[in-house]
This record gives sequence, structure tokens and C-alpha cells, in this order.
Amino acid sequence: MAHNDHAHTHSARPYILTFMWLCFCTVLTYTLAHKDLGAWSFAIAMAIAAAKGLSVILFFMHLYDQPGPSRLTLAIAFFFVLLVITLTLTDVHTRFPLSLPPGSFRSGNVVPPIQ
Amino acid sequence: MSSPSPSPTTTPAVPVEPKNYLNCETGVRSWLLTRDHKRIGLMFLACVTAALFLGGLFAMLIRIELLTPDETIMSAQTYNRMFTLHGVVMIFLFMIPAIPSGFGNFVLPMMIGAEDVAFPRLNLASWYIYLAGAAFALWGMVHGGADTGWTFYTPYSTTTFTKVVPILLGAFIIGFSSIATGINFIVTVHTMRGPGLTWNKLPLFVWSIYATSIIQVLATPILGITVLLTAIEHAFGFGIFDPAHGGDPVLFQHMFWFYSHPAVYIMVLPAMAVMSEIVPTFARKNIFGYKAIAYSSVGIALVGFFAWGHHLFTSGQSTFNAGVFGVISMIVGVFTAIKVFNWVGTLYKGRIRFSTPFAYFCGFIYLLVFGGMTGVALATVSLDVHWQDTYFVIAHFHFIMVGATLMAFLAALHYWFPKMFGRTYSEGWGLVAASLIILGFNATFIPQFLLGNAGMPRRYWSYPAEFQALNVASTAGASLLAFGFLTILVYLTIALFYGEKVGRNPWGSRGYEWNSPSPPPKHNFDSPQVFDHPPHDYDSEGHEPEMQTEVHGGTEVHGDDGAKR
Amino acid sequence: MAEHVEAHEHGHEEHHPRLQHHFQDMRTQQHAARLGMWLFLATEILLFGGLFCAYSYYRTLFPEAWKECSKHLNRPFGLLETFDLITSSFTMVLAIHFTRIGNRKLSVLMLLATATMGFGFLGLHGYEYYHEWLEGALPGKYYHFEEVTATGAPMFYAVYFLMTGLHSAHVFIGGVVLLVLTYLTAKGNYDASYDHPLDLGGLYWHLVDLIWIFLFPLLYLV
Repeated sequence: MAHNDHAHTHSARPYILTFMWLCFCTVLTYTLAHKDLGAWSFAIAMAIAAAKGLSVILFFMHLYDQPGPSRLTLAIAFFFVLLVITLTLTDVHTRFPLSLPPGSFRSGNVVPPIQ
Repeated sequence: MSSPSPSPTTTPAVPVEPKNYLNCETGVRSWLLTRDHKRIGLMFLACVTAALFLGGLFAMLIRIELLTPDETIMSAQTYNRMFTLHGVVMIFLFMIPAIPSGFGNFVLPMMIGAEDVAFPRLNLASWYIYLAGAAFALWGMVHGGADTGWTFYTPYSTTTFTKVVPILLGAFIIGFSSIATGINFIVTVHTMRGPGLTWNKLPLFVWSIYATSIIQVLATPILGITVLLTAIEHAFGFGIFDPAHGGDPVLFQHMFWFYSHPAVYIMVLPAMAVMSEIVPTFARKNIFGYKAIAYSSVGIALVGFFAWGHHLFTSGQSTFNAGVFGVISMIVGVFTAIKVFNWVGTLYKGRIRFSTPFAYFCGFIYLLVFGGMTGVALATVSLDVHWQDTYFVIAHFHFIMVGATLMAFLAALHYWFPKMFGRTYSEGWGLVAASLIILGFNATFIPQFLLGNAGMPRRYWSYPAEFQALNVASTAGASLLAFGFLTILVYLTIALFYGEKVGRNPWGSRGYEWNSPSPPPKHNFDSPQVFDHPPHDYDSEGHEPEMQTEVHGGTEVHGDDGAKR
Repeated sequence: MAEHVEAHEHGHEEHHPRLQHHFQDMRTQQHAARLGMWLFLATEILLFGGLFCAYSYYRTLFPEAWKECSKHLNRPFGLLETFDLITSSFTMVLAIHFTRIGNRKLSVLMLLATATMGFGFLGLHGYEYYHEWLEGALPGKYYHFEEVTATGAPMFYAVYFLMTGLHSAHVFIGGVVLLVLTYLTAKGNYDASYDHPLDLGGLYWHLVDLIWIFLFPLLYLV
């Protein structure tokens, strides 16, 4: 029985390593945020966040030893988040500019408040 | 709902009636605290039927108002509330839970040989969450209603003075009920299949409900956050969808339709599920293209998520997106057509028994094909610009979404009624009511296709006088439809108490759920289940069950044609 | 029933007192519970996914506002909150670990530490909210923060408050769940052979952490 095997061989070492890795990544992303990396800064920040998230999922949440359906569930969830973001963003990027919202009137923009 | 007591006239000298799920425990408490998936299914059915009649009442009032170009029975403001309530009640309270939570709950565990769903308490909780959401929404309706239409488009929905917040919160809460049912079914199918029941031996009903559950789990949270944001926006004015503060109403539409377009498949996939069971049973023939039907359900579930933008063709969405979404929308038609061809292929050279459920299948396939073809036309951007927000769209989605779901709901009701209650209804009345419903449905919505094409916009209280003839025709059709529903209500209520008793398998179906007694015992089966034959298998010689006389107008049906085969 | 007979034949285990009648064996029951939880977590991810969508939408429209407003969030506080949640996730896995090796006392201690850090997070964030309230860095029509005048600044704060607000609500719920689990663990409900509720509670808590891991760079480190 896999469950009982777990209890015998259960070791806290992977957790400690994961925790240290997470702390390292946090410090790294914080430090990099204060340097001007231009267009790369967003990609790097997201890559680090993804690495952190992945280690939480795999080791803290034990997805590495879960059966297929659970993995598939999570993969599909992330896929759908990306889907809703991507297809909405292509709309913003390709739209006729005047049909985009002009911004906040509070910041001195031209649009008057709608009564 | 009380258990049908054995009436003295129909009980022969059987000493003790075996205990079933209806009479093993009695009293209101035993129903309200039950964890039995069959009882929960029945409670859902009772609620969705009540919702159907409430939504139908609103629909009738709308149609009566539209009899004349100006005020007939209600003011314009009341009319706005009426069509909103019609949409909200029909979609959130009837169509989304009707087949999955009602019939799915009842038959899905039986179809896979399980004693119950994976999480019985969550299942009961789902019903209570549904009731709580319904209570919220109904409270909002009584105290002022909403006049935004069921789509709650911003910025109007965030500025209107009517009670949108409780109705939005009602939709939010009902979403959790939908999610709970979806999670339950997915886990049930994964972990509770009987011994030997592999994925490729699952009944097609299970496949389709499984696909539906995936959509429910993945799409509903986005609706949740969208209506929550809209409610917050209405209550506090955070500006997230308000152009005055930099917000974009089109973002609302993106997020709303990311749920609500797949929601169409939450409604229509279960309808296809029911029909995939009914077709082989009444054609007395193996299902044609089992895998094609099974996988196309999952295909629809997936592609349905890529199509939401076709609701935004005229909303300021970019032309690039419109083109992409238009093309993807048409792919849904391919999967649907795969199913239609396979059903028709099943009928070909079958020994068709024209019973009530089959009559609804005929209505279903006609509505699905014509609703679907107008859908492909609407997915063409240039055509949609002409039809957008006209009655053409109304008629289209009533054909494909409402019509298909309604036909399947009624077909399922008649098909599984003997299993649920151990009694059957009058076949003659069944066919009369089915004709009334199908005829009424067409008479209601065909004029609306014509009205829309002529340019009558949806949600308008008044219209030019030249549209009156078609509007009167539509209202006349709606009355036929209402009359059909009342007929069904009457004869099914009678059948519940006085209907003829039936055995295990009155339709002679090969579906696994028919192996249990009617009505089933508390834990579904009285003997261990063996899954030795594929589902919908009518070709293997020897042990094929035949249709019983009590459900087929009292006439012998396995006569010459059955012997000749 | 057939399933039960089969379970016995395989000799996996005798009837565990926690085994519900409709499951074949404990293993299936745990698999079902975990899969159900993962599906629920998927719905949570998509719930936040809607907000992430709104975030990317408005960040694309108002990149300047995002840069400027992000600078006015309290970055060291964000860092502190991140460490707080990561550590709480760590103590959560340790709590389950100690239950599995049979050390109930340490397990309770770890759960208490996790819950404390959870509520500590809420305290820290409450302090940030208070400051933003004083500055007038508020969403939509309430915005009167003088320092940032970039177009779309109120939208940044709308997104910020909605995302962190929803996340904080999850932290609160998770904290309450943790307190209940602490009580049940102290009562001795869980041991090496049965720890499913602890397992599921842990999954939920890690999800809360996971969301924050993405919120932190997106909001504080633009």
C-alpha cells in the first residue's frame, strides 16, 4: 500500500530544500526588481514566479507523486487562465484605437464624467 | 414529494412490496437530510420543474404583451423586468441544472454500477446552495427585479436603479451549486466505475455528462468573478467596467461570455447525452460510431471555450478577434454534425419504436439541425452585423439551446419515469403532448426568425405595426406550448399515483441502469453488477431484452419484424 | 457488494472505520478526495484567473500608471508578506509530515504556527490598506492620491484592491480551516493511517500561497 510506505520512508528533507529554494527565489526577484532590465524585467519576474509556483505545486502539494487526473486538472486550469488572458489581450492589441477606454478623468484626461 | 402508495386496484396478491429508495424511509426529514443521489436528483427535478413553469409564465406574459404594437398588459418598465426574469430563471434555475443535476444525479451512478456519487454530502449541499441562490434571486425579483436582460451588460447594469445586486449574487451562488455537481460527477466517473467498466464501455450519457462537468468546473468560476465584480461595481463604484474611470465594458463582455458561451454547452451537451441513450433503445440497434459520439462531446467541451468572442462582433472588439472567433465558432458545428450523423446512422435500418421519448428525439434533431445551421450563419461576421440583437438571434438560440434542452428534458422525463417511480404513463397522452410541444415550439419561433430577418430588434417593448401579424402568430404558438406543458403536468401527476406498474426494463434497453428494480432499492442494485456487454449493444444474440407491453400502448411489438431479423 | 468483495480479495486492508460505504477501499477514497480537491483548486485558480485577465487588460492599456503606482506600494512589506506565506506553507507540510511519522505534538505546533502566520499576513495587509486609505490611493471614484497622476491610476488601485482583497478573503477562510484542523489534530483524529482532511486543508493553504507568489511580482515589483 503506497500510503503506508509513505509513512515509513517519509522524510522532511525535500520540504526543507524546497523552502530554501523559495526563499532564494524571493530574494532574487526582489533584488532584480530594483535593477532596470527594460523589457526583460517582466519576463524574468514571471519566470521566477513560475519556478516558485511550480516547486510549491510539485513538492509542497505533492503533485509529483499524484495520479494523472490531478496533474491534468491543474494543467488544464492554467491553460484556461492563459486562454482567457491571451484571447482578450489580442483584442486590446488589435483593436481600433478609439474604441479603447480613454482613461480616468481624475488624472486630468479629456473625458468628462458621465452623469 | 411523497412516495407513491401502492393502490389496491393494481396490486395483485404480492404479499410485501420490496423496499425501494422512495419508501425505505419516510417523512420530510428523510428527504431533506438524504444523501441518496436518487432522492437528491428528484429534489432537483422538482425545483427545476417549478423554475420551468415560473420562467414559462414570464414568457407567456412577454408574448401577450407583444400581441399589440403598444401597451397590451404591462408598461415598458415592467416588460424590461419580465424578459430579464424570464432569462435569469430559465438559464440559471432551469436549463443549467435541469439535466445534469436532475437526471444526471439519478442515473449516472447507476450507469456505472456505483452505490452513490463520490461525495454524497457535497451533492446534498449542492441542492441547498441552489435553493439559497434561487432564494436570493427570487428576493431580488420580488423587490423590484432587474431590467438589464440576463446578460447584465455594463455600464447599464452598474448604473440601473433596479435590484441587480441580489440577482447577481443569486447567480454567483447558483454557480457554486453547478461547480459542486460538476466536481462530484468527474470524481465519480474517475473513481467509482464498477469492475470491468472501462472508459470505452461507459454509456454515452456518462461521457456527455462528464464533458459537461468539465465545462461546469472550468467556466463557472469566471462567471463567479464577473458577477461579483459587477455587483461590487454596482454597490461601490470601483470603476472596473466603467469608462468614466478608465474601465472597459468590453472586458465585462469578454469575461461574461468566457463563461456564458461554454454555458450553452452545459445546457446542450446533457441534451445530447439523453438522446444518445434514447436513440439505440428505440431503434433497437447498436449505436453507430460510439467513439465518435463520445469523443465529440469532449471536443465540443474544448472548442466551446475558444468561441466566446462571437457574441462581441458589434461591441467594439477588434476585427482580427472577430475573424478568429467566427472561424472557431464554426468548428463547433463540425462536432455537432458528427453526432447528428451518428444518430441518424443508428436509426438507419433500425426497428424503430415510435414511443413518446422517440417523438421528442425527432423534435430534438430537427431543432438541433436548424438551430445549428442558423448558428453557423450567425458566426459569419458580415451576416451577424445584420442580425445582431434582432429576433433572428432569439429564435436561433431558442431553437438550439432551449429547444434541444427542452426536448431532451421531456424525453428523459418520459424515458426514465418508469425507472424512477416504477409506474408508467399513458402513451397516447404522451404522444399528444409531444405533438403539441413540438408544434407549439415551431409556431413560436419560426415567426421570430422572420421577424428578426425583417429587422425587429430584441428586447423592444413596442414595434412598427407591420410586424404585428408575425408577433400574433408567435404568441399563438406560445399558447400551444403552454397547453402542452399543462397536459404533461396533468398526466404525469396521474401516472405518479395510478400509472400501470412496470418491471425492471420496460423499454427493453441495454443500458446498465435498467438492471436494477424499478424503483431501485436504496443502494441501487439488488445483485452485484457485471459489465459483460458494451453499452447500447443490441446485436448480440440470445439475451436481448424486448420492449414490454405496458409502455407501448398495450400492443405486442415483438411480432413478425422482430422474429424475422 | 462486488466492490467490497474485491477489496477483500486483494487483501489491501480491512474495513477502516473511516471508510465510507460506497467506496471500494481507503485508497480509492483518498484518491477521490484528492481529485475532488484538485478540481476545486482548479476552480479557485480560474476565479483568480478572471482577475488576472482584468489585470493584464488594464496593464496593457495603462503601462505608465502601473509603473508609478506600483512604486507607491510598500515593497518591503510585500517582501515580508511573501516570506510570511512561504514559511507558513513550509510549516504546513511539516505539520502533515509530523502527523505521518506519529508526532502529534509537533504537528499541532506547526499547524498553530501556520494559522498564526496566516492571520499575521492579514494584519500586515490591513496595515497597508490603512495607509492607502490615508493617502487616498483608492479605486475608481474614491481616488484622490495626489502623487500619481498617470492615466489609469485609479484602475491600478481597483485591480490591486480586488486582487488582494479576494486573496485576503481566502487567507482568512484558510486560517479558520487551519484552526479547526489544529483542534481536530490535538483531539487525536488524525494519524499515519488517516490524515485526509489535513492533506486537503494543506492543499488549500498552498494554493493561497501560490496565488500570492504571482501577485507579489505583478503588483509590487512592476
